[in-house]
Amino acid sequence: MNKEHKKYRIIRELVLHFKAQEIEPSVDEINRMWNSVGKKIVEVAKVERHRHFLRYTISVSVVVLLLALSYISILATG
Amino acid sequence: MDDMALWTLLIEGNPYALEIIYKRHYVLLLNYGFKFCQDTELTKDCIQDLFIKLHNSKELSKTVSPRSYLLRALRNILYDNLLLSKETTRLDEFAFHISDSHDLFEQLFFKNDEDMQLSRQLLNALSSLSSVQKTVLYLRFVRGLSHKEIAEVMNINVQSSMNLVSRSLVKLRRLMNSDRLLIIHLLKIGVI
Repeated sequence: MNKEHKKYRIIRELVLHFKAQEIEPSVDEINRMWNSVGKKIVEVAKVERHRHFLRYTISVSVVVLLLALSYISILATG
Repeated sequence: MDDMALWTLLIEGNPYALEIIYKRHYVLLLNYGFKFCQDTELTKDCIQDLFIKLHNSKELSKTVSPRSYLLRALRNILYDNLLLSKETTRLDEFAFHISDSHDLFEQLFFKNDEDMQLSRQLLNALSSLSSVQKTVLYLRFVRGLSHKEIAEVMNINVQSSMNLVSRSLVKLRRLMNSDRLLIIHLLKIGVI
């Protein structure tokens, strides 16, 4: 057996060996997995939107509070 | 549409690009991840995390190959998860794993078949290779990645990738030849 032949035979065996251990999910399973990714993305986006809304609300509240305090202090000092 | 075009669409915020990339590379990612972590559910969760991160990422840039980017990112996520779950505490424990089931060969070949003998020798020789060597052989010959892509996955340069594949094959061949010589010697002295 020449060197090149041996080399390709080893590669063939190698590929066969690895291929025999591969997991081959069905198209349905891949679609199902993608749907769960999609759902998770929507959930994460919802949480992110909620967090953004909270941040915005707190910021606006702080500004309004500061304005109110300034107004009160102006009124108090006459 | 090729991967690079899809990746560009993803950067531009096209929601369908992510779905196509996911469906195209899911089998590759699942099998690659499974080589490092034998927990299928954890591997699936990590693939899910990877795509959620991709979707939420605002700093995605053009890459040499989306396929190698995904493989590398998955390996990092898997490693982080195993580290968190305390299953892996050292980097060298996080290695490329090959099943050493001998039953596999009996399913593939008939008993005493020359191919089966060769495959048994191959399994023994493979177990002597380092994790990096096994990884490059898998990526190159089973998954058909180019040397450029392998270099990106392994974080080495292209020449090193070529050398690594070539040296791994040479080592495999040498180990298999020495295995054959050992069997002949053992037969001669009557051990087997």
